[in-house]
Amino acid sequence: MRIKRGIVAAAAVLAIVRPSLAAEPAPTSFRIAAIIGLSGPLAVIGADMRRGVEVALDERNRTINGVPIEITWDDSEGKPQVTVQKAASRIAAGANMVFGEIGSPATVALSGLTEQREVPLLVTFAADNALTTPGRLHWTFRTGKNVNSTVGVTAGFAERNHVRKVFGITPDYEAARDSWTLFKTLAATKGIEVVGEEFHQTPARDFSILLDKAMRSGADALYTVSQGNDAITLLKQANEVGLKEKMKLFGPGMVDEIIMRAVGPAGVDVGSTLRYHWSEDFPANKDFVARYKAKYGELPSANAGDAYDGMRWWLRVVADTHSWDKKDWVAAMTGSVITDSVEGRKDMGACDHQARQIALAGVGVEQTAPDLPKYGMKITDILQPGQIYRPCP
Amino acid sequence: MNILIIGLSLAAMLFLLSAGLTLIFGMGGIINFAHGSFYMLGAYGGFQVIDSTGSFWLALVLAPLGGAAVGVLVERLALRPVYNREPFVQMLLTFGVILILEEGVRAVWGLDYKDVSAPAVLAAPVHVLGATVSAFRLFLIAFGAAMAALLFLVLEKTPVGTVVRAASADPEMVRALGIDVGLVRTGVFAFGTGLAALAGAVTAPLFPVELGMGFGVIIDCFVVVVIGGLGSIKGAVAASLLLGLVRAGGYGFAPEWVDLLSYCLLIAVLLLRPHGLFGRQRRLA
Amino acid sequence: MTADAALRCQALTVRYGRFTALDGFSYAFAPGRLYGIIGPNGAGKTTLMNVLVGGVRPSAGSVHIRETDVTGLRVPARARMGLGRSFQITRTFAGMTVFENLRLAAQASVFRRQPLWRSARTFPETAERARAMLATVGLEREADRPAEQLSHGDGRALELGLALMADPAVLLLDEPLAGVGHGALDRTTDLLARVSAGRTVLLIEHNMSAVMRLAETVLVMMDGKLIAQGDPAAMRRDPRVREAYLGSDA
Repeated sequence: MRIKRGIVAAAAVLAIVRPSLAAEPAPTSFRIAAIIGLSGPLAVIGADMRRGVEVALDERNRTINGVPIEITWDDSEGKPQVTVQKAASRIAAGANMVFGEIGSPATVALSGLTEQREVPLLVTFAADNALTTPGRLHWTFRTGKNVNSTVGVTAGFAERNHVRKVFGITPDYEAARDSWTLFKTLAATKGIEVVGEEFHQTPARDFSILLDKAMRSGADALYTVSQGNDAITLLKQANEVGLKEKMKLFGPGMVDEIIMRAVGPAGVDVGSTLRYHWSEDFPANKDFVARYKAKYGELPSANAGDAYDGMRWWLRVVADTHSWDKKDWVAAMTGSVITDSVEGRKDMGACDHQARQIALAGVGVEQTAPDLPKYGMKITDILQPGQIYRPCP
Repeated sequence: MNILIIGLSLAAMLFLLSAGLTLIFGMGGIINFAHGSFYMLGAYGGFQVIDSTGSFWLALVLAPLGGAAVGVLVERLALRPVYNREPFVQMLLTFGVILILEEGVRAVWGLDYKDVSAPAVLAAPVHVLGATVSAFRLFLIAFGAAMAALLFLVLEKTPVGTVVRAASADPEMVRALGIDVGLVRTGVFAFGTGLAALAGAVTAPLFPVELGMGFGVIIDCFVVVVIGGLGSIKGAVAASLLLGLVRAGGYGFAPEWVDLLSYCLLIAVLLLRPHGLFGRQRRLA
Repeated sequence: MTADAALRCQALTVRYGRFTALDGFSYAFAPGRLYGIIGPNGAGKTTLMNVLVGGVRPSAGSVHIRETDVTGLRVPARARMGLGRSFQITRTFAGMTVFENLRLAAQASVFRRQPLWRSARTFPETAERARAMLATVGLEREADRPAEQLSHGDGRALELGLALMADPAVLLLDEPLAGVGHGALDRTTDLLARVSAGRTVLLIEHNMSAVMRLAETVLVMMDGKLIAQGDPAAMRRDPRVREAYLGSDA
């Protein structure tokens, strides 16, 4: 163990002190180190992200400027230490870029490593604002949506659904609390009153008492920042007491196709922001959905679509540089524009490396079409980038 | 009122979960870490039955039978050869069983979440003394209480219960009386895993049905079993009630501290009664 | 006599690595006799007992119950063939009352024939037999006490009762007087004499006066071998026996 660590450290040192040449020679392969959760609760997300990326690679015949693309998949187990450890050894072994992770804590930790080692990091899932604070990270790019944009969409959703009084249920960790605070600020500007709030541990085992409080609070809507398993538990237990008949239920990323499959009727009419959705009406998306269905026999999830779109964009920018110098790639990606993404036009913010893009709001629905799962999502609102993002100065 | 009903429903779930674990421990001194995996197996099995037949009630019958059948295999193939080995060997084996069951479930049902809904009769909320509670929770309370009573009667009042209690106290002596302890152990292990699967099937309408679901509950199980006293059904009932009501109260007044509250309860009980509420020191090692 | 032995050992040998605990032990135990087995610590008495009940597999040799080879049978199967035993350290079922202990043993003797899921109360036969055994071993007044609260002497009596419930033809008693207080010694010895009637009994015991009083034949063991046998008076005089015990603490 100690010996192995020693070798890794030595390799890491060598990787850093290797003299950088004026023009990097073409490598034998373009190496992508993907580090995402492939086991445990994140596996269901990670597996879809992997599929999305694979489709993006297939589309290029798995080569870039004549060089084969080599991708390695490491299981982060969802843990920051494991993520950083595995990424470090991949970088030491010559990875040209890193893709990952899923959860915000692990992704933030990963960005610390890639900044230090000066390797580009592509983020398609984690929504933490810390990843795209203007001027903070040089090597990190997020093609997916950030917290501020999703909360903005839910506030708009509340307004359009004539919500007057809202009760909040929030997991007790910093990013979630920040998200709830942001919603309260936005809600206040729209004349929506917050009549109560509760914070819960995550994973939460039971929501029934909190839901009871919400139902007695006089609120006409329940807003929750709970995600994943917590969201599923909350929805199932809300359904138990007929909460949906009394209040509107919504939250940022509260439901998606995966969660709809888990909760079925309990998710119908629940409002949520959506990330990517297979039904988005853009030519590139039609093309992607067809490829994905041909390869995997089902519609791409939001995780698959976001991963595909981010990887496709990034590889295209790298190819267009005709360079093997990482600094050239970063320079090209900063401020780059893709007009034919699966979600239309996306602009990479030069100041924060956050992609400006459309945002979606939707609700859970029962689907009757024969080739669709019984429960899924329907887009109800499309917001333009200008309504959500502040432009870079 | 609501806190009481919800507390009782939590207690019922905790009891169903932990009864099998404590029974298995009482029998062979085996700490079955794979208990949570049998719970998961029961939830998936329940999903499959409901998906194929549409009957939640049939799921409550078939899922535990499936869990018990897998339990028989695990006991015969994995545990039987190591009863006389050090406890860590048995622990490692049950860890191995977790991996096998998880891979098996993944291979059969995939990574996706599964949707299990409460049966239509229990889907609507009911109003009890001015509180809105779920009919399904009331069912859970009744179901948990019935299972506790049934287990208690079987263990205390039937010949087979006497044999099980005797075999927990001194397997060698039971052998000397001409009873096949191996058969009793297999039976108890299968019964315990069947109970875990039943818990998985019956609570599936309330929780996410996914591959990791077993890990969350196993900690709860151990808290209940340790508070109640290892191997004691009475203890499992008392500890489930205590923990369920404390949790419900916790959700009512300080939901961000519920887990801490549970562990404080555990520590307090261990300080005052190191063998748990109803535990006794085992006379023979 | 060999032809109708209740229990017969044929060249029994038990080795633990290089240590030989039992070394070619052969003997035919006649029906209805009480055998005292004596010898210094480590002579192989308890090993012999364990091989006879089926808890230890012999390295060589065979065990026969009424001329049926039972060497390959495990403990419960031998018990059902009429082999009862008591343990060196008293073993009863903690957490159950004296009565429940005995009822379990009664039930065990008919285990395979009962519908086990019905209430125990619906089997009056087992309860009756348990009550009768309470009288036999003199524990009527202790019936409802938890077994673990009994005195040493009463614990021994209960253990004996458990072993007797199946009415075993052969009874193996491993130091039944160990730990029994002075006051209860005579009572327990009397009990042993009473319940031994009509059975083949193998009694391992360090209390010489009890062995001399109860045994009809005494076997002397040393280093895993049978070195002498005969009636108690003859064994007391035998020089080999005196030698075997010389320097030992028994």
